[in-house]
Amino acid sequence: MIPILSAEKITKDYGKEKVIKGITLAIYQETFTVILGPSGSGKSTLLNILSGMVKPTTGTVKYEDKIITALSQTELADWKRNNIGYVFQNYMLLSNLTAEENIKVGISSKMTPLAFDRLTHILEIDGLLDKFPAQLSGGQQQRVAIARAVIKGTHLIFCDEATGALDEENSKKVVELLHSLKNTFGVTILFTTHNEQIAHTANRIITMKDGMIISDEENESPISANDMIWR
Amino acid sequence: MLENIRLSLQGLWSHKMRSFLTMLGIIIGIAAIIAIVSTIKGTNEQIKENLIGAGDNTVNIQFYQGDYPYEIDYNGIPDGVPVISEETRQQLLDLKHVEGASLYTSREAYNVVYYKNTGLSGGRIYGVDRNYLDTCNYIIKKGRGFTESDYKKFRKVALLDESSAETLFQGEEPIGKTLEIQREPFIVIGVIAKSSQFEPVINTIEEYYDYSQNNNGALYVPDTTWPILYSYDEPQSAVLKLDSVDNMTVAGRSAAEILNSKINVQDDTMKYKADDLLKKAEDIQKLGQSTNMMLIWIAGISLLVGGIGVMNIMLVSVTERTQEIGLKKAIGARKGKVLGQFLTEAAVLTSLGGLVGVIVGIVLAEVISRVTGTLMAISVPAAVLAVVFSMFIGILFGLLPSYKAANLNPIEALRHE
Repeated sequence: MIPILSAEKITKDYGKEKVIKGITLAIYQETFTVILGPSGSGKSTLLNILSGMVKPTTGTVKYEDKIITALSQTELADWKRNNIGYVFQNYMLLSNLTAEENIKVGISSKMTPLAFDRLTHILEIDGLLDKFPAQLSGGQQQRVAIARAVIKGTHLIFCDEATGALDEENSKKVVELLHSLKNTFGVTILFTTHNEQIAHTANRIITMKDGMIISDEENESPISANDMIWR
Repeated sequence: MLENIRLSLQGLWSHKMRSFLTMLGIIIGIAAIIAIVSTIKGTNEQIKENLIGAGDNTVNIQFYQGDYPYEIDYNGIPDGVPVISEETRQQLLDLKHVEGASLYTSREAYNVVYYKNTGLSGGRIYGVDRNYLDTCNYIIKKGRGFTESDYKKFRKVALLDESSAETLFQGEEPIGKTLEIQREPFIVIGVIAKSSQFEPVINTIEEYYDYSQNNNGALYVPDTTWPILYSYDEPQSAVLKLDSVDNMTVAGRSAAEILNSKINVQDDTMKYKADDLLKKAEDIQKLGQSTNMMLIWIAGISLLVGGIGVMNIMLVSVTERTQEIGLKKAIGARKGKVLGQFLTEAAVLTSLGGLVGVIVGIVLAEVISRVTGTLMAISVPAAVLAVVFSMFIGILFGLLPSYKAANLNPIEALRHE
């Protein structure tokens, strides 16, 4: 199998502090991979490096056969726009735009986006499109944010603690929807969390501690999002 | 770009009060400049109109000695100044911007014109050719004008202007009456007046001299009868009718050159000169110009302050929208796009300010004009320039905040609370 994304010996130092200490990994297409770890383990930094938002101190990141750590700022911006989606813990919707406008904010005229109606229907936000973020619940806002990440027809979605601000019901819904997007549109999902239950729904669980991967396992029998036991 | 403008307008609308207060500096600056420029332009038009008269596009070319018109009454007929031929008149007519050309001879009419016991003191007497009335825009108020046969048959007929008719006849009907000019009887056949009434505003003694000859009354006879009164070979003057007041200087100068090429005089200071009222108007306008420039500079300072206000608000806006910028950069917005968005916003803000400023400025100029009674004239180029300039201010003062926004680190920006 050809990896969609691969990292080769990446490190990240912030001054004297070594946040990522030499990580090599490959992410495969149409998988749901969870990076699990307590806060401070370096999982968000790893995600930011893999998504091109932060440059590693050493090492390279490749998307298919393109070395993204070698791209110029403009090339990197173009790559991000055309190839990846990002879902944040605190949704990051623009307060002065409606849900529909927020979803379409990253689409450029050169793109062939996914069918808007189908996507919003799957995410169950088709009735909320004219609402502003302040009029939506956290779960609804996060679903709008997911739609924004996916609409471009991107194959790789980064989710950074995407359920971190949600309650049990909404968290389950978001995880379930991400799985169904993976199956429907064939997207690859990379999900950081400290929640082991979410990890159990994934195809692969990478566990981090102190800037290093301490385990990397295939999950032979993922559970469904609804079967997660919230504590 | 259009999307950026739409977003900017949306952003401005969502902060109405703040946007308005930010624009206020620009509005005041632009309004002040527009009001000043409109008033200056109005004053300049007024000066021109006072001096030249609206709609009277004629220029006189007279024979001068030194700085004053040649006084034949005191100096006699000069040598070397030939009678201007019809061919030369045609040459004048062929000049650019010239629509009519006429020749005339004139003298002071002091104690030479009488009706019964009433004399015309002051004023002038003119011997005019067939084109004179047309060229100078005279209309017949009473009676008739000169006919071809008046010229051919050397008829002793005269036309009066309203001022001389009033002086000589004092309310009596002048038409058909006989005047005595240089002891010769002349029959009054008509009263003429300028087609457009022109009331000059006289501020200086020089201006008084410019108009006194017209205001003391004038009397016209066919030039063919002039030798009956005076001499055939007196230096003539020419009057040109032009397509526009603005061409007075150029056409007057060219005509004087043509006439001067025909003369052959010993005294170098004796030559034809056009009375350049346009230049005189411009000289007066120039007097006020340094004050006006000062006013514009002061208004410019207000624009500078306005621009700094814009920069300040744009910096606040960048801080407020740090997360938005972070998000846009995270999902792949190029640096240039973020820069463009903020620059557009600043430019839209100041252009709107400029537009409102132009409107306020025009209203202000109108008010000043009503209150002080001076003319005002809106300068369209100045208004367009003002809006473009305010846009430029937006871009200039928006550069720093926009640059700051474009260079935000997306991760730090996203973490910003």
